[in-house]
Amino acid sequence: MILFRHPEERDIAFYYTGKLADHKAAAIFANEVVIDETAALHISEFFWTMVDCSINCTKEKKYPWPDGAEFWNEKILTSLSGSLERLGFIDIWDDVVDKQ
Amino acid sequence: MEQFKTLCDLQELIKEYELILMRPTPQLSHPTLYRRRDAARDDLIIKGVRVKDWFLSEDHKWVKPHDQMGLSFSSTYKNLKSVYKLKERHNASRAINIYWVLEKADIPAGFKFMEDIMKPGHYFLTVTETMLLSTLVTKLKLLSKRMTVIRDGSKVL
Repeated sequence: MILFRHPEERDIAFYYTGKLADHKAAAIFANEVVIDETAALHISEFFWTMVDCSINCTKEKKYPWPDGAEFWNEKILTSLSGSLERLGFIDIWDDVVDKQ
Repeated sequence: MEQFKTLCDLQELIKEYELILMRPTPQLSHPTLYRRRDAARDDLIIKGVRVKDWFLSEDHKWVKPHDQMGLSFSSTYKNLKSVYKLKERHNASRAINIYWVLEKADIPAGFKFMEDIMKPGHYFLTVTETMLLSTLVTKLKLLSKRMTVIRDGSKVL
């Protein structure tokens, strides 16, 4: 189960699953699937795709949350990596980080 | 003097003695305070303090203790690397420096580091007692002077 500290993080994650048409990530964030290695890899990769998309939104002045993409992406990073660490998949998260 | 090839080497040495706290910061930005241009459009910045980071009184004159609010730091190489990569992505035209302190040796009285209950390796710099915002600013400036910087952390990560 992915635990977000702030409700906005969850809202933003879902917003970008929609914007990126990533139904698998949406199902993971909705806790509709048990997180295994494949799901852990998927949301680790989704995070960085979401970051790139949010940076583009910011450039176009279309990022919907007034606190800004960098602030919220750092919060989401902490929640996602913390959840994956708790579930025993932090190595998958770290491998994806290494590829960035 | 021994040269450290990577931040890992340094951390391996230091962790035998005490906690090391690291904060990636874009070039030209301050490690503990915010300039207006470093904040989001709607962020409230008072004397360099980003209001939403701290547990403040309603009139914003006092900062109060809170175990899960304050400035973010990393205590592990891996957590640092994640945050560093994110900062790099968001600040594509600027190098990212890494500022670090030793918990026991370097932090001013009235500060402490509290580990994030949701993420091992992520810490909040918090206050131990209610203090004036102006006192917080003075202490944050003092802390920044005690921090060591690794310029352009991409060379060591």
